[in-house]
Amino acid sequence: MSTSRPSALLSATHIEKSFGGRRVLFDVSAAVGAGECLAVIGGSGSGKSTLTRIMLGLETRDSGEVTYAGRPVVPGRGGRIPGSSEGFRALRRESGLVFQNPFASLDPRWTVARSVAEPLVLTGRGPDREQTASAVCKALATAGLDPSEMLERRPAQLSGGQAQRVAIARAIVAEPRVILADEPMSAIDVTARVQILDALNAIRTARPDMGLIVVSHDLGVVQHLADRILVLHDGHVVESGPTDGVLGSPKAGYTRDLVAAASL
Amino acid sequence: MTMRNLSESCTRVFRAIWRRGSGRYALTVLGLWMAVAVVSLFWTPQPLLATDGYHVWAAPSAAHPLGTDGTGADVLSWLMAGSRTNLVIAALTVVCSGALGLLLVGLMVSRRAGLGSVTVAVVDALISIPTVLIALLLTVPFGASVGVIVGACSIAYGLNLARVARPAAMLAARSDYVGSAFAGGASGWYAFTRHVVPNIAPVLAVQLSISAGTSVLAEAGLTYLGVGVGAGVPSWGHSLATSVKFINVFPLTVLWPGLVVTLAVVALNLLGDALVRVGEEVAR
Repeated sequence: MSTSRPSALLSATHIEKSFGGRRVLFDVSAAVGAGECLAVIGGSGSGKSTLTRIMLGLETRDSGEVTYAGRPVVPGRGGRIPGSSEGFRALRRESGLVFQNPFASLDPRWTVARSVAEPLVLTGRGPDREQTASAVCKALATAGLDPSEMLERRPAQLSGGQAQRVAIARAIVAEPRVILADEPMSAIDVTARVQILDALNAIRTARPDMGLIVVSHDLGVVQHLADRILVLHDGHVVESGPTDGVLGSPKAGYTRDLVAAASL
Repeated sequence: MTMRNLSESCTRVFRAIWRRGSGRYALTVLGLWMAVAVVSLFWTPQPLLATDGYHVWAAPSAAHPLGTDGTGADVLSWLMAGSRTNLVIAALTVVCSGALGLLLVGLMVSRRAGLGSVTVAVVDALISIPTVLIALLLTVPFGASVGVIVGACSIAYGLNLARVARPAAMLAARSDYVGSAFAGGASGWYAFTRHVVPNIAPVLAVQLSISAGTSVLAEAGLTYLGVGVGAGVPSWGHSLATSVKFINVFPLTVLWPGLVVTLAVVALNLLGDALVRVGEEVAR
């Protein structure tokens, strides 16, 4: 089943992947367009994180093709930059990541200011200290945090919601064209989830041309964020389409089970 | 980091160590050690080669504050001059074992397929070779010298450092923040120097301070075995080796170098502990 479209910003077609002889993805295709939010949903072990990591060039694939802005994404040997394609290098420069556990995704010894500024340093866009500080403050504010309170704090001095919003600020500071949020709310308490949702929605408003891929098993989150949904089950795409259509009138039995479980 | 920032960080760390009783002891002993080593370059109470055949194994006196040894040489002068040798051995051991240990840690946490597991196997095999045996092997081509002690200690302690630091380094190297840095285009060198090494700094501080202290003990032991510093080179191990045979008759001549070695080793170990505590404070 394919969901790739000619106007896709980032697309993966016919992806297959095995780990130690066990196949986890079977001929999977997915795509996200500029300004679009794609949600990849499914149960644990369905292959959703593997698929999105392959799409961002963070994981190698056994077969299939990934393209970014029309250019093939081919990592160098062992997934490294040397020897990679121009599409891979562009994707690395122009993508941001938000992980599941915010505390594991921030260096415990670094201040918030340094962590958020890191993508600017890595992409060579932070040589000027004032410009960097300004970009860091802007990103923190977009993520719903007060920069004056946050800049000098370390991860141990943040709540779960604050830490995840700092991670979101780091993901957007270099103004990426595509962001992957891998289960961004599963390690956060219920009250902080609203803050994260607000932060992600604020980013979409601030950057209307940015593609967002959200991996989640929380259909409530998906409903609030996603334009389209891709449902994975045991490494197969069982259903895909606009959010309202997939959640409102699911066609596949597995999707119906997911929706029914969410409404319990 | 600018020189000003570096200077400010060093001052902050120094003050944090000084606030602790054990840290004050460590800094005082190490400061005295370095001061004595520098002073001994220009002055010692007696010339090192001066011997007094009429006053061998003499008790402490105004002319010889710590007495004399079996050749009538001034014990204090030899201990002062020996502090230079031991300081050089401790410092070079820290630098060389630290460099070797970090290189091995870097290889062990490498993402290159096979490289990490091969390095772990090699380190596990080599770590079983005792320091004395390494020193004996190095003595065959190079002869007894300071270089042999530094080489043997650096190899043995570098391997040990790599083995001990590997779990913490693996945690950092496989963390999401390093994954995020790689996703942003970071090189392996960047991730290792900016994320991995700072996060294993407490382990490094303890291991390197232990290495420095143990190198002082190793110098004494290897010199006693005849594979340490060359004859005529002042060192604390040399002072111990020349007097230990007569410990039952003239215990004081063994007491002084033994005391100096103990004070230095305890100070280095306490410095390592203090550095870990300061690191934890900074991380909080």
